[in-house]
Amino acid sequence: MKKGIFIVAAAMLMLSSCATVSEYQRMYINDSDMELSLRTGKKFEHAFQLYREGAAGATGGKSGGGCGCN
Amino acid sequence: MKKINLIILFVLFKILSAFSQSEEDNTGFKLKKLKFEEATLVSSYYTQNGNHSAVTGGIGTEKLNDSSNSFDLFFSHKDKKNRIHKIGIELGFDTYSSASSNNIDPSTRSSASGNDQRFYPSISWNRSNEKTGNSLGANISFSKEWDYTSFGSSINYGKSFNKKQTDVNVKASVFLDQWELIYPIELRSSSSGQGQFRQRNISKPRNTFDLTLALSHIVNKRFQLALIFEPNLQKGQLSTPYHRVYFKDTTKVFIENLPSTRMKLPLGFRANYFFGDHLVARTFYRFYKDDWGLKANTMELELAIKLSPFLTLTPSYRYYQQSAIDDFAEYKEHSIKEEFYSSDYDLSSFTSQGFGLGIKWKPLDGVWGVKHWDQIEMRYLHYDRSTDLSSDIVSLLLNFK
Repeated sequence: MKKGIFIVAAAMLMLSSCATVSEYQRMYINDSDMELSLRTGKKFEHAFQLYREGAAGATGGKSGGGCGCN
Repeated sequence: MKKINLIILFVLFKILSAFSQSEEDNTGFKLKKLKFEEATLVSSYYTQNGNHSAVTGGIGTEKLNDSSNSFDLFFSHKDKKNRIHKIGIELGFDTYSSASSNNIDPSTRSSASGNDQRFYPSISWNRSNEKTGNSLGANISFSKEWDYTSFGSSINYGKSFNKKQTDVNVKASVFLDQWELIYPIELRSSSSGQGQFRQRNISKPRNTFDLTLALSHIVNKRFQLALIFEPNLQKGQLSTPYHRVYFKDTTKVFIENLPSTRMKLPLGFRANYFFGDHLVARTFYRFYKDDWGLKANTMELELAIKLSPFLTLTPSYRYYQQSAIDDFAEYKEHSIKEEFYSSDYDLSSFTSQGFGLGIKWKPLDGVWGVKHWDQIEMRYLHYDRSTDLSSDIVSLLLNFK
C-alpha cells in the first residue's frame, strides 16, 4: 500500500498546478489519443487480461463481474 | 336496421377523424428527435496456448481460440434545458473453443463444454449539462454463456469544476450472476461421485459490487492525468466448479475450493503527454491487492506516433507482475488438510509482457472515400506469461459517424 500512497501524493502534487487552460487552448488535450480512458480498440485485449490475470479494475474499462472471469 | 347502420357509420367516422391531421397543431407537443452520433464495430481474434490448465489440475493444454465482436450505437438529444442526453446500445457476441474445457468430460469429443458462445447486450444513458458541469448516467446489461448468466446495472455521477480542468466521477455497479455448477465428469457419477458432487443442475449466485472513484485533471496545454480507485467486492460462487485439484496425500480428485468473498482494491494512475505535434505518450500504472493475498503491479506505455494528420502508429508495451494467492499450489502440492485450495495458474505468481502495435487511419473525406466511414484501426498484441502461456490477439475497429 506504500506504493499506493506514493501515487496519491504524486497526483496531489500535480493537481496543485495553477496553470489555467482555456477551451481554445485545448487542441492537444482534446486530441483523441489523449483520452484518459481505455481505448475502444483495446477492448478485447483488456477482456482477456481479466481472465488470465488475478488483478482487475482501475483502468477505466470493465472490472470483472458479468462473466466467469477474475 | 337503418338506425344500426347509421350508428356504425357514425362510429367509423369518429375513428377515422381521430387519425386525421388538423392544419394547425396547437398542443405544443413535439416529437423528440434522436440524433445519430456514431457506430463502432470492434472484432478480434484471440489464440493462446500453455501447459498448466486448471481443468486438469494445473497440468495439460491451455489451447484456446476466441472470436469476439461488439457493435455499439450512440444517439444524442438536446432537451429544453440544453442538457445533452446520450443513449448507447451495445451488442456483444463471443465464440470460443477450448481444448482444456473439453477435458471437463474427456470422453466426449467436441462436447458442449469445449465450444461456447456468449451474448451480451447493454443499454446506457447519460445526461450532461455544459453550463453546470454535471453529468448523470445509468446502464443495464445482460450476459449469457453456457453455464453463466449475468444481470448488471450501474449509475454514475460526474462533476466538472476549476474551469472544467478537473473532473470527478463516481460510479456504482452491481452484477447479479448465476453460475451453473458443471463438475468434472468423474465427480458427477452417482456411483463414484463424492458427496455433493453427485448433485446436478444446481446454480449458485456470484454477485459483484463495484465502486469507481475517478479524478482527472488538465495540468497544462499538453499534459493531463487521472487517478482511479475502484474497490470491488465479490460474494458467492467464486471457485470454478470444473477446476480439478490433485493432492500430495490422497489419490482422490477434488474441485477447487476458494473463499466465498473477495475484496479487491486497485488504484490506477494515467498520465498522457503531447510532445511537439506528432507524438503522444500514454502511460498507465496500477497497484492492486486483495484479501486472497494477491498483489500485483501493472505498467503500460503506449505511443501514438502521428505520421500525418490522418495516420497514426501506436506501438505499446505492457509489463505485469503478480504474487500468488495464499491458497495456490501446483499440481499435487496441496494437502488434503487445507481448507482452501486451487491450482489455477491465473492466480499463481508470475510476470507477463505484452508487445503491441496498432495503426489508425482517419482521413478527412472518409475511409476509401466513403463519407460516413470515419476511421479504421487495426491492432496486434503478443502476450507472454512466465508460466509458459503465450497468446496473440488481432483486433479491428471500424467507426462510422
